[in-house]
Amino acid sequence: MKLIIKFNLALSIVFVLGLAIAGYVSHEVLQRNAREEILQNARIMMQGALAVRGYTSSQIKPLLDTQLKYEFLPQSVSAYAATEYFGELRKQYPDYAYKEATLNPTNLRDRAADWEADIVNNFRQGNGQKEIIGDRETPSGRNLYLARPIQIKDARCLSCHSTADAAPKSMIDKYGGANGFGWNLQEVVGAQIVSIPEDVPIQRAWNTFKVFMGLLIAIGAFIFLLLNVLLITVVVRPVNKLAGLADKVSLGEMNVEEFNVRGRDEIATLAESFSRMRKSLVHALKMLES
Amino acid sequence: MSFRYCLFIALFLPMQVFAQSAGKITYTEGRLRLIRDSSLMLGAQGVAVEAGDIIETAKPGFALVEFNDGTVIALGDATRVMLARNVQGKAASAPQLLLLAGWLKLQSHSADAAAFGVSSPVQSLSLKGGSVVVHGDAKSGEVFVESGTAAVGVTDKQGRPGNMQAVKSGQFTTHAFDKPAVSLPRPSETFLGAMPGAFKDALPARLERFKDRTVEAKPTGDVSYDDVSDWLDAAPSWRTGFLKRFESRLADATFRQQLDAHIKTHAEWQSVLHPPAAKAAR
Repeated sequence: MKLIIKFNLALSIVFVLGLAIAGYVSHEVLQRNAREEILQNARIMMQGALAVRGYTSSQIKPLLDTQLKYEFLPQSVSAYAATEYFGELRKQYPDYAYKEATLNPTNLRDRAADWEADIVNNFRQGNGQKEIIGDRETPSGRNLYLARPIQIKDARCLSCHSTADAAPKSMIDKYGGANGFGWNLQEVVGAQIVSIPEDVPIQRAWNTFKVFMGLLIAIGAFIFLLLNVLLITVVVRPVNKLAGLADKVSLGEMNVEEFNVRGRDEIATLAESFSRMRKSLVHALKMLES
Repeated sequence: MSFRYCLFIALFLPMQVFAQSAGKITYTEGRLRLIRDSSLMLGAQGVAVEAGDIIETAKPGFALVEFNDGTVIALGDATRVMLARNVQGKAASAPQLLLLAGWLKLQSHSADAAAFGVSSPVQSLSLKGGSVVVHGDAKSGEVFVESGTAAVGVTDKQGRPGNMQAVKSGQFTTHAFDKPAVSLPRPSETFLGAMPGAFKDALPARLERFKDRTVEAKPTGDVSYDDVSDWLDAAPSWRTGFLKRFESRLADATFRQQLDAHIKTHAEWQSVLHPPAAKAAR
């Protein structure tokens, strides 16, 4: 088998093996990174929603207190502000969904579904858990979710959620007096939940993986080609030429052309040795003839 | 002690209350008319108000008047109000606002604020600390107590408040002429729909901006009969002092003639327009 074939075979095996290992490792790392990036985005969005809640209850609601005596303004509600904020955010990030799932909400739209209630109850157990990350199957595919507890830390929240008598009458007119009351300070009443289809991080990771592997293969192919060219020009061709000269000398053609030696590499050393050997042979033959 | 002397004391003492609670016009939108004594003036931001001043907004129009004790009143569209002395004629107690027609919001949150009385043709109220929105005209009166507790009752035919009942924060009372008052837990949709939108917010305190300056109201002439006819026809106790106030206008033949033509609705002018013949010298 020719040297070049042996060389290419060995190189191919090494290259494929390396590519497989790199592919596997990079795939896992990219998947994990994409998932973590998605979750980190979700955390930032949630923190933004919490900031909007705080701003609304501390700055906006006091300005609307008098108007609330006349008509209920949802803009005075922290949860409404957070949901509206996220609605705007979704225009740029449509894959993310947000809900403030509450066990006993004023607006029944915010009532926690079964799986959400499980999360909220988990937070209520008081084990200090700050967030829950999980996956769940939905009709449209598998979803990744990040949940954080909504805990009543501001006594101002209780102006609308302690008793129906204490709440603005305009709020009672709109939502009735049955829901959203009986909350207590420091109580976990719900959870912020950001959901995103798992396809999204998987797709993101896959896209990056394709680019990475494509680049790796391209670089590999280039190295492959370069090494072949180098092998042929630096080793195979000179060796073939030397072999041809050696054949001629072995058949008695002592006057073959000199092999041009360039450089100081192993081929040059071989060529010099061959040249010395030919000269010695010619000299020895001349001595025998005389 | 002569009657005129007593009247002077009765007028003077309560005016001290209002003088203590004197204030200024702190905000206007649209043309604001001020009737001081028998003169017409243009109201503007920074103009000081006095007892007896009649303040009237245009339609559309809005004005804020703030008193030194921190009480703020807001006048809605086409609102006519007089800053009067206590119409019960008693010793100085509560300043009185006489709302002939229109929308008025009274806001008083200062612990030092005096009790304010507001009378419309049908309804009267008294408030010390809190805020109320009042709508009144010749046929009905409505009061919504935003905060605090107000005493709300009827205005009798003499213009005096009576039969006052406590109305708590958040409650609404409506009173049609010659019918009993109706109390509701929430303002009616009609009331809410007609109420000036600016009344839904807390009234801003702006008197500080005018603390060191007073703007002189620009006089625009003397009142005509049409300018004050509705006030001249108001409840008798509301007209206390009008004889002296508008006497100078009798020099205007048109005013005199119109006053005379409607003498039945303000009979107290009879003795001025047609004084009884002097008794024969004894």
